[in-house]
Amino acid sequence: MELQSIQTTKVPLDDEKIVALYWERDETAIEETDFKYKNYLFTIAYNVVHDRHDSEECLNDTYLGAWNAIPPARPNMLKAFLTTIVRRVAIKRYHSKLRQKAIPSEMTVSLSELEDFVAGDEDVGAAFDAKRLGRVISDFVRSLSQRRQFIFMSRYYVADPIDAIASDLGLSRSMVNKELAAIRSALQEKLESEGYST
Amino acid sequence: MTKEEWNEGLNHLDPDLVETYIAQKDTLRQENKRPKGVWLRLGAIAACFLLIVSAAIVSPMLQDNSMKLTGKQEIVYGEPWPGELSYPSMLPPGFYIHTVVQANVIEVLPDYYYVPGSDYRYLIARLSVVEAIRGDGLPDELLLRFPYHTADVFDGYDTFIFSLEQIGVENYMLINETTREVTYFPHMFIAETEDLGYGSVIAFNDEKVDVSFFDKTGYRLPRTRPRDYLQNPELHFYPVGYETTLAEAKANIKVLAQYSESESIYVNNCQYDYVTADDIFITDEEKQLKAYLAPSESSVFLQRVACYADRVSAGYTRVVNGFLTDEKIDFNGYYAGFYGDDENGKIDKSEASYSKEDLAKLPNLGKILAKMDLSQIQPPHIEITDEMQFVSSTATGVYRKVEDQVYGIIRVMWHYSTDPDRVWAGIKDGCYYLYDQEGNCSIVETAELRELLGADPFIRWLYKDVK
Repeated sequence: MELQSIQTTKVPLDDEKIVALYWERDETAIEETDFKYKNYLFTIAYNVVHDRHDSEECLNDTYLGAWNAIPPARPNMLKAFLTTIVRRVAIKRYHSKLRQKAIPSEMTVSLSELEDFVAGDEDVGAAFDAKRLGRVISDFVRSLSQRRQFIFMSRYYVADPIDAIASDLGLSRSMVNKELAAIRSALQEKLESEGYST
Repeated sequence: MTKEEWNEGLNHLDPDLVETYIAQKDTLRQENKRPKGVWLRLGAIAACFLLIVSAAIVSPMLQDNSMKLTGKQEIVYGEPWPGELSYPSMLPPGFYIHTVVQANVIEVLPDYYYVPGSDYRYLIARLSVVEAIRGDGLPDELLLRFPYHTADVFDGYDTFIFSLEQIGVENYMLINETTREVTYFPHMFIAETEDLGYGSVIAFNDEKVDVSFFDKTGYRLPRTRPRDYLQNPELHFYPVGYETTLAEAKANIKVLAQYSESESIYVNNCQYDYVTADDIFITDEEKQLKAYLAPSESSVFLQRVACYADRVSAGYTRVVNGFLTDEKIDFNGYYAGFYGDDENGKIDKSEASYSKEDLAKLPNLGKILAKMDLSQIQPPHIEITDEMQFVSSTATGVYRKVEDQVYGIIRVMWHYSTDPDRVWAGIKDGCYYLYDQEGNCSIVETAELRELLGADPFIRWLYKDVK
């Protein structure tokens, strides 16, 4: 009997091989990135912008960003590298749309949790030093316990819903809320000590 | 600071923090998989600072198979985590409604206890339940685990209202810091906020609230906020004001308990007020596991329970000689990841599982740590300069099993400060000592250990890796 069909299943490439494709300026790098990380990156974008079409556009901008950055970059962890790009892209789109209307996304909810000291929808001030704030926040995150680091990054970096964080850690929703409350309290103290008015 | 500025700042977070986060997330969401990579250092054992000096003594010590653990046993744990006794709670005040009792404090046990693998210290109070304000089937006596306060914190008050969350059933295990013994406790609870000040513990004298208890517990938030709660309790979902009586407080709590979780973050609608082993071990398979999980001569299992609205979940981690292993058994999703493995009746076991033969081959980390003098070991990657002030050094260990090989790992960490006003920052360094079952020891770098163990949460980026 002849073979009725042949099936092959596509397996994601290793990150190292994908990065090598970028370096070779082989456009299949984008296809492979999309195949491996699309769902993950889409989730992050959607957590921020809460719109399917916008999320798709964020993904496209992310792939373009990766294409432009590699080379010269040669990321150790491609997933983390893409995470930072998709976040930047999604945040930019989020704040741009926010000027026109409210966005009912997890990012909006997570930002509202910080309203005691992060408030106002104005644009970035001319004198604002984002890198300095990044260092301050990095210092703060490092001072947290491992669990609280994870919760902080999940909630405020990639805007994961509370239920997802609770599931990841095997905690109750109320415990995650309590941890977040403790984190916010400590963060406010830290920001005040670094001269950020709250 | 505006929201956009905040997000811009986050966009400049250190990349290694993002990488660590992604690795942690992947670990939590994967099944336990072990890499097939080769253990690189076999046959190329690097010098260990201690073992060069005491090699002749170390080998027999590492092969010491005389560890027997049943109930109370001598454990040598090594250097405890330095700094504050426990992580101070900075939770906002609020009466979190879970299992609520009026109870008297019979005594506070004299010693501090800690959970294996944790740097938190706790005291234990024995409570005698006067009335269950919210909760059915509670025993007459409960235990309360609370952090960092002194043992006389409850002195001077007639009675208390506690809102509690159960964390253990018959065999909740802690290590006595003074005697270094494993001790088991039944009916272990924590205060719902794990904090005694303006949280879920309220003190009463002469049938009236006594707010001096809050000052005694030294709440860390600005003082105005607790005063706001007491001045406007209804506004803040708080059951007492300055003049509230015990009877009024109980009535207020019953009213507050009627809110749903979506209406108030202070309410926990969990249907389980008190759980026993019968709520966890239901099926025949689960009952068989109960026997497997009981304390034995070889090791014990650290138990934790969590109650959700629709189920009780429990997580068990094998502990040998006070050190955590990677063997975990998960009932109803205690350790479950994102993809919904949390339905009732589901049991998940880690890939790592320690047989009696494995346990007999484990290196004795307790004895190794007991002989480890941290003051004699220098950080291997950083240069100590005059501007750097020593803050702390710690050593802690775990056991791991990779395929058929068992290992003991000790992680040593150093913390130096260059700014006394920002001690939490500063410079850190660390290294890992890897002991195999043949008695060999190697110092390994973070990357090598990750290749052996995968994305293990014990492995931290201890310093900026030099490329």
